[in-house]
Amino acid sequence: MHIDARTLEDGTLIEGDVCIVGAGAAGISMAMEWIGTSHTVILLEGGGFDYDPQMQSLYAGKSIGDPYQVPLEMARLHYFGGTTGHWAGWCSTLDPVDFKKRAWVPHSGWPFRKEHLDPFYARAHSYVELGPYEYDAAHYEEQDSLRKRLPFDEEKVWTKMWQFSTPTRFGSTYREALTEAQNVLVYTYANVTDVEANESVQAVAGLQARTIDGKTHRVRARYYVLACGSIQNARILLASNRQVSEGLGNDHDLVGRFFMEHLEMGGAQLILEEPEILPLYSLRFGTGQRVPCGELSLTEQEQERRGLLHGTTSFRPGTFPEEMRSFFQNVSDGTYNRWLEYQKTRPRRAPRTAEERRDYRLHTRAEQRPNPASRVVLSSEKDALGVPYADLHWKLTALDKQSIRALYETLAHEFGRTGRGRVQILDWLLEDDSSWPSFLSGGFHHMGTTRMHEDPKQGVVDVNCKVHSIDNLYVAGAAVFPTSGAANPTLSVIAVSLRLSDHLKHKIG
Amino acid sequence: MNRRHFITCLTAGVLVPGWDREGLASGEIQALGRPLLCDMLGPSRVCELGMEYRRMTPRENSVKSLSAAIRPGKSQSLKPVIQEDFATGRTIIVKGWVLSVTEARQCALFSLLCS
Repeated sequence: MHIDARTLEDGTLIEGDVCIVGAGAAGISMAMEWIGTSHTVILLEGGGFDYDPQMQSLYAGKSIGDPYQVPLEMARLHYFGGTTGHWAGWCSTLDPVDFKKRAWVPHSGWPFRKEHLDPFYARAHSYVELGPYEYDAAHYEEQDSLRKRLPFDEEKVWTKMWQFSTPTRFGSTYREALTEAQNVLVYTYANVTDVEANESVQAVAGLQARTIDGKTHRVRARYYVLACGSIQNARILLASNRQVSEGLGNDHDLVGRFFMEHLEMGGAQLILEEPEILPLYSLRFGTGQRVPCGELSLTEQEQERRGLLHGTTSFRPGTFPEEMRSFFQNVSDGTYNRWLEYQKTRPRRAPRTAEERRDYRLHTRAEQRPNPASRVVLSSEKDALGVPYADLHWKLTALDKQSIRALYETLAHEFGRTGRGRVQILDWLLEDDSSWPSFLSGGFHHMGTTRMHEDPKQGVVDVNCKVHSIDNLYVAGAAVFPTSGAANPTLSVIAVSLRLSDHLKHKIG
Repeated sequence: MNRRHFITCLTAGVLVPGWDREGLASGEIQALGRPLLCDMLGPSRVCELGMEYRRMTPRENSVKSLSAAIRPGKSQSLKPVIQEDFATGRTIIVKGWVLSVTEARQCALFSLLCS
């Protein structure tokens, strides 16, 4: 059933068994799991079924830390389907190393291993309409003899595989199933502005949900799940500060901290000794196919041996323009914008045939070191509903840069050792490790802020994604990730949410 | 012989008749002074890399010292030497390019011979 919260009488009480706040990949996949059960699920979406600039503006906030080129109100979509409305469909799993406590990565370690999440990943595949749950490069080599891994030292470098969703737009794909389900109540235009705790602040008593036209409703359920994305989840908890000044679940000053992004940057270029099309590593979107492809990454033992974070590199045909060398050395926002303009108008070289290709741009998707100083904070400015905006103080560390550089150095050695080619590392990676260029870029992948840890002093939620100090409040999505790994988060978001859904089903009986 | 003719000969792998510079015969020039990188990056960029290497390591800034440092043995190809450099981490970053030390010296020699 669908209800537009703007059409309700002011002060309506909405009741159910489970209330999920946010209808993105996490919230929708969870709600789908409850269709046909005997429990009433409330799915609250702040926006409507379509993009609405007025609702989107509620996500505005400032970047006040390291340069973050993506405006916050653009990075996450505030309507039914959430950010799956503009995701690109890249899917891969986190890797075993991402779950481990690594001595060289402070604050690393999940409370379970990757094997524990595998069954949920397999289930998540159906939600994003992927093929078999198979990420072993050898499997894809067997299917096509032309698609071979690069012959690199297997103790140092491995090929991480990706599958590609069409991409599934959760809003359009799952709208009918959810709005027609008898036991699922989909409310649109219902923005949660306050989480009200009971007197002892040990359980949630209800939610306050406001509409843009000034109505205030109350929501009551047995269990509550925040599934609004990493920034908005933290914002709701921090802004729910009427009973506890530091915000709900924030007994140890952890809510909003450990914000993580994937650094997605061009970092190097490759010239092959002989032209080659590297079929296993080639994206084939242009042909209408979405064939799985590989990226290169350092092995777990190499990461450990050298004390590095995880990261991958993809191959994109072409070279960075020659002028980028000096550009990278001396950049400002102005020069960056001029460069972007130049990219739109510069004369294009006639495309080479695939057989002639010997130059590739290498792009990184790199893990960010979990960093308590990288955080979401409340702004002094408020949105149209009277809730403080969330500002982002993104903060990177030297290890982040060192790890990307080391990845390219290792690849350069492997390409040279095997007589395949040479790698040129771009200047921004060769400069000092404490500075970052103004064109620093992430992948729109917001993670952390309510991290998972068994110890309440080290994490906001426990192993079941329950807020440590609140009995019936849970967090879904990438906000609970203790580390970010090097995989786009959507598939992991769904897997972790399905796991939470199972837990709640068990709990509710 | 003018400079352009010399570079053309060098990059094309053609022996340069009558060439003898700082005791380096034409055959040795072909073995030592024609980096594999020329095929990948073109002679002018290789020349730039060579000049940068010479700036970074001024003590090697002569045909004699560079050819002595590169020389792998009488008839040995440099390609396996370069690959071994990469395998053992004998590399240097020149203008961002991660090069084997041997081929960086080749670039330097190339730039000297072209100058």
